[in-house]
Amino acid sequence: MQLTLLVLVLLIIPLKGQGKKSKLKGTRWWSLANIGQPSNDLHSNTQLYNSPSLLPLTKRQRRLVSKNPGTILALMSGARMAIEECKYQFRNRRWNCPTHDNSHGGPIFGKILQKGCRETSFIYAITTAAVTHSIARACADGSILTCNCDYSMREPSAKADWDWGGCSDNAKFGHKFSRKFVDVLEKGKDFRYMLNLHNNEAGRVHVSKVMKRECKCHGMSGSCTIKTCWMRLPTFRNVGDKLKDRFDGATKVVSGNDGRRLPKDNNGSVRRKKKKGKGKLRRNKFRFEPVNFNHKPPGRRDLVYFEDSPTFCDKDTSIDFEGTKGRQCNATSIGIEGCDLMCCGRGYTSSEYTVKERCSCIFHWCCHVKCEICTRKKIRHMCN
Amino acid sequence: MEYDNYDDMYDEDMLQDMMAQYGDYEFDDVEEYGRIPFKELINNCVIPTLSQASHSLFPIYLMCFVFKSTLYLGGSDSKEESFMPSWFPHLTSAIFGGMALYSIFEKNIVYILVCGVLGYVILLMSYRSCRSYSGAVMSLFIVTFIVLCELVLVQRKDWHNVRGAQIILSMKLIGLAFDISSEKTDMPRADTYLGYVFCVGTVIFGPWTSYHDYTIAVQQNITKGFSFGWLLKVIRSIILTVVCLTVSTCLTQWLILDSGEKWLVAYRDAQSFRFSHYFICFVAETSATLAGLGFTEVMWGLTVSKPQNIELPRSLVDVVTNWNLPMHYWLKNYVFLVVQPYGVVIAVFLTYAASSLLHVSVNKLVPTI
Repeated sequence: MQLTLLVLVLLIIPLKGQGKKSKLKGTRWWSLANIGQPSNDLHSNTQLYNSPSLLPLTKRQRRLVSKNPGTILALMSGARMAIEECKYQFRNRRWNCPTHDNSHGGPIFGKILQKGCRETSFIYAITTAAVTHSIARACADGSILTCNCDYSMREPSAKADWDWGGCSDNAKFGHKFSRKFVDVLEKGKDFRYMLNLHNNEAGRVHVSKVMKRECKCHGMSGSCTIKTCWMRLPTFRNVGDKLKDRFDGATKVVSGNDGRRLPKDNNGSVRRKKKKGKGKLRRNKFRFEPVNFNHKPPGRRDLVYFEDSPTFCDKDTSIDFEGTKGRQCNATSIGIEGCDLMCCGRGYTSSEYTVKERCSCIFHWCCHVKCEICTRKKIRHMCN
Repeated sequence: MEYDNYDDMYDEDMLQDMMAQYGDYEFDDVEEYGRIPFKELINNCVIPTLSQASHSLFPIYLMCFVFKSTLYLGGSDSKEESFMPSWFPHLTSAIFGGMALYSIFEKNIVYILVCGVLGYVILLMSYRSCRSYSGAVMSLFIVTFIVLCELVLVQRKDWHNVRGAQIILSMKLIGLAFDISSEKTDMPRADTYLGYVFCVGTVIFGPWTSYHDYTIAVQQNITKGFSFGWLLKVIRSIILTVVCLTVSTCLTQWLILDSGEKWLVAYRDAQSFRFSHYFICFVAETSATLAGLGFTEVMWGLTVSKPQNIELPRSLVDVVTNWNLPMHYWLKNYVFLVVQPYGVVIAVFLTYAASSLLHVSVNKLVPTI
C-alpha cells in the first residue's frame, strides 16, 4: 500500500510542473479519479490525502480541501462516479465519453473541453453534479467534519417549527462546496466561462433540488412526541438520466444583448432595482439567447452550448477522439447504436465468437444450485 | 490576505446575477428515488434516525433507572420504614417525571402541568362535595380541557407535540376519579397524586397504569432489587424498539419504492405507521420496566402491544384489542362498564367517542360526526 502511494506521488509531482501550460487548470481535479482506490481506512491515508500540495488541484482548491478535511475522498469518488456515469449514458453513442488515463496532466476527458459543444456541456454538468452528490453523501456519513452534521446540536425550540438537529445542511453544504470548488475553472468573464458556469450550476441543481430531508413523527396514536429525520438522495444514475435528457434538449445559445430586456417577472425586476440602489452593479448582466428564435430561453436546469458537435465519425486529434472504428454496434437497430449510424456508412464486419454460460440450472434442497456449462456462439459487429 | 478577498468575490456575484434571470424552478419534477445500496441506507437513514431517537430517549431511560435505584438504595439500608419519609418516593417520581417531560417538550410542558394540577383541585373539590360523581366531573373537565386547548388555546403544532402525553394524563385522571367514586381507592395525598400522574416511567409514552398498580410498584421498588428477569425484559424491549424504528423509517421505504403500485405503496405507508406505533409501545415498555412498573408475581410481564397479533390477526377484534392493551383495558373498565347500566348502545357509542377523542384531534373529529 505504502509503495503504491509513493509511486502515485511520484507520478503526480511532475504533473504539477506542467500544469501551468494547460488552459484548463481548474478541471485537472478530475484526474483525482485515477488516484488509487479510496480505502475505507480513513486514518492511514488522511496524512497523505490531506497534504494538499500533492494533489492535482489549484491553489484555491487545495486550500478549500484542507479547510474541510475529509472532502478529498468524496471528491475522488465523485470524479470516478462522474466518469462512470458519463460512459454509461453515452455507451450507445458515437462519442462514448472516452477518457485518457494519461499521467501528463492533461484533462482527463481530452481536448473536447476546449470546444463548446453539447458533449462539453454535459461533461461540465455531470462532474459538478457528481461532486455535489458525493460531498452531500459524505456529509450524511459524517466523514466531513465541517458540514455541521451534528446530531447532538438540537436547536432550542424558539423557532416556530421546532427544529430537531440532524443533517439538514448537507444539501446546502454540497451545493456551496461544489460552487467554491468547481466554479473556479478558467478565469475570465468571457462567453465560454459563463457557459461553463451555467452548465455547472445546471448539474448542481439537478442534485441539490432533489435532495430531500425526510422526517417522521413518532408518538402515541400519531402524535409527534419525537421526530426523526434523514437525508434522502437520488441515486446518481437518476441524476445521470435526467442530465442526459437535458443533453438531448440542450439549447444552442449566443451571447445576448446585455441586460436591455428586463426580466419578465416581478421578482426579477425588484431584485434588479435593489442592486442598482446599492450601487453595486459592476458589470453588465449576462444572458444567453437561443440561436433559434422559436426556442424558449434556457432555464436554470438546461444545458447550453454554442458550437455544433463534430460528427465523431473519424479520428480527430483536436478533440482527442479515436473515431468509431472498431466500435461494436447493433446490426438490427436503426437508432444511434445501430451499425448504420454508428459506423457512419462505412460498413461493418461481423465475427463469430463463443461464450461459455451456465445453463439448465437445478436447485437442490437445501441449498445449492447445480448448473451445466454450455457453449454458445454469438455474433459481434464492429465498425470498419 | 488579498488573495482571500479575491476569493470571496470571484464569481458568486456573477453566478447570482445569471441565476437571478431564471425562475427558481421552471417546473417541479416529480422526484424519483431509486433503490440505494443497502450500505448507503444504513449510513444515510438507519444511523441518523437511531442516533436521533436514542438522543431523546436516553435521558428518559436514565431517569427511570435512577428513580428505581434511588428507591431501592434508600429502602434497603434500613429495615424500618422510618428511614425514608413516605412522601420521598412519590416526589422523586414526580420530579424525575417533570424533568423527563421538560427534556422532550420543553416549553410545551406547561399544558401537561396545568392539566395535572387543575385535575387535583377538581378531584379534591368533587371528593369533598359529592364523592360518587367525581368520575363524571373529572371526565367533563378533561373533555372541556382537551377541546379548549385544541380549538382555542394551543397552537396546532405544539398540541400535536404534547398530545401523546395528554392522552396518558387524561386516562390516568379519569381512571383515578372513577376509582375514587366507586370507593376502590381512597383520595390520594398530594404527593402520591403527583407521583402517580407524573410518574417518570409512564408520563411521556405511557403505558397507562392504574393508581393501584403504581402504589404497588413503588412499594416493590423499595423492597425488591434488580433481577435477571428485569434485565432481560429491558434488553428485549430495547432490541424491539430498534427493530421497529428501523423498519418504520427506513426499511419499508427501501423495500417498496414510491414508483411502485398504488396499493403496494398504500400498504407500505400503513406498515410504516404500524411499526412506528410498535416503536412507541416498546419505548413505553422499556421506560416503564426501567422505572420498576409492571412486575407481576411471576415475571416482568408488562406488554403494551402485541405486533404478532396485529400483523397476523385472526379477527378484527384481535387487532383492536392488541393495538394498545392498557388503553383497551382502560376503555373497557372506565368507559364501557361505567356506562353499561344506562344501556349497551349508549355504552358502545360513548366508548367510541372517548376513544376518538383520545386518538384523533377534535378538528378532524367534528366533521366526521
